[in-house]
Amino acid sequence: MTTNMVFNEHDLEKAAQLVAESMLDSLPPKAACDHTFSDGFLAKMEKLINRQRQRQTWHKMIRFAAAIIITVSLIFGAVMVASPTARAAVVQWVRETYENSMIYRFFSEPSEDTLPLYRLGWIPEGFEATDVFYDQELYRALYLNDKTEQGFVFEYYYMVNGTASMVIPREDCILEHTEINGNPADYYQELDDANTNVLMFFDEEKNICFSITATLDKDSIFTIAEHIILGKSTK
Amino acid sequence: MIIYLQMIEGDENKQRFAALYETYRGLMFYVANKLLQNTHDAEDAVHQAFISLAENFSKIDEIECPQTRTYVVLIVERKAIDILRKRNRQSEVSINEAVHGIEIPLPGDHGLADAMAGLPGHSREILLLRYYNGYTTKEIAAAFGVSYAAMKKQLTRAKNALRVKLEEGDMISDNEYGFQRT
Repeated sequence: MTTNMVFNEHDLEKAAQLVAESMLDSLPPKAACDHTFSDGFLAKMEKLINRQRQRQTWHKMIRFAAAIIITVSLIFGAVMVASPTARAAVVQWVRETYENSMIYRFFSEPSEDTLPLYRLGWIPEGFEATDVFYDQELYRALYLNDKTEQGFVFEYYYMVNGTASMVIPREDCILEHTEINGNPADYYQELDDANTNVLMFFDEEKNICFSITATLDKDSIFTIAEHIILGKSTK
Repeated sequence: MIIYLQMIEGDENKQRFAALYETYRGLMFYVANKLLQNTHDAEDAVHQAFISLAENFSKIDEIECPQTRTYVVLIVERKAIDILRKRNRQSEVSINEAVHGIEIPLPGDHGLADAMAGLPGHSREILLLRYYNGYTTKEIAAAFGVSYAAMKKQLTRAKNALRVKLEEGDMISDNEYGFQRT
């Protein structure tokens, strides 16, 4: 295909404005679009709208949970000074305690590859993915159980230099250093599983940090983590 | 967690989503049914579109404005085309490239806008979301449920298709196009 037409971004914006106006003008007004939807459609939509409400419930659960994991971009030095040794090329991540928080700081060069899509090969019965966010740098999926109102968030991202993840555990939270499929992992166990437990593990070969934040028991969280497989999105 | 919490922050979100549903479900059905000519499939397309809208709800500021109206029409058009593609799974032609989507009257500039209006639905949707709604490539990728890299390629292909469309409309003089020919 050869072509020699040149247009710039401003030309495209002007043209898109005209096309959108033409499209909207050609569509009938709301009153003329009346349609009696089927019962099946109305039921599905009611479920979808209610799911929005469940998301808010889950949001509150996470917001007031004892253990909260936050992924942030940090300016090095703003919180603490990283040692030059720690930033050596072979070190992909370090774990540092800061006041009441655990900070995971990452040191790898940004990947040129698109973030691979992983899916969960096993999830507890009654759960389904209700929300998925995915871009070049981050994948995050929310799973909910309609009946029990339990939920968990599965997320992963490249361990890129200049970013950090922070876990803010409650004082009585127990931290266990462990492994998931041979990868180093940290597990934060609350005294009560109704609070959010957090599992973080680090695939150093793929340069990806995974985390599961859940109102689930340890066995369920570990089983989910052990069954993360490369594949199509679960969306 | 920060990004996700921002996505669902606010007690009024459910009401806003319900308002979006009430405002646009009829129009969305009209668009879907225009393409699919089947009530059941059209409702399916509308439902799929609302799932996508819910997942990307943070992109919607005002419920009743031309930008949101355009956005919901483009999303449901996309979902309807997806259903058409499934219907024509045996077709050797890529339906994404071949289906024209809803009929849009030519704006009448005898140039870029007319060429854009005449593009197949998939290319036109991407260009409108990018240059009318002002969404980033990443946001369009999320709305269509594809990777950033895939959407970047599709945006490039859409611009190339636009150039080809302009070449096809070569009966119009360069001056009428209003931009350079190199």
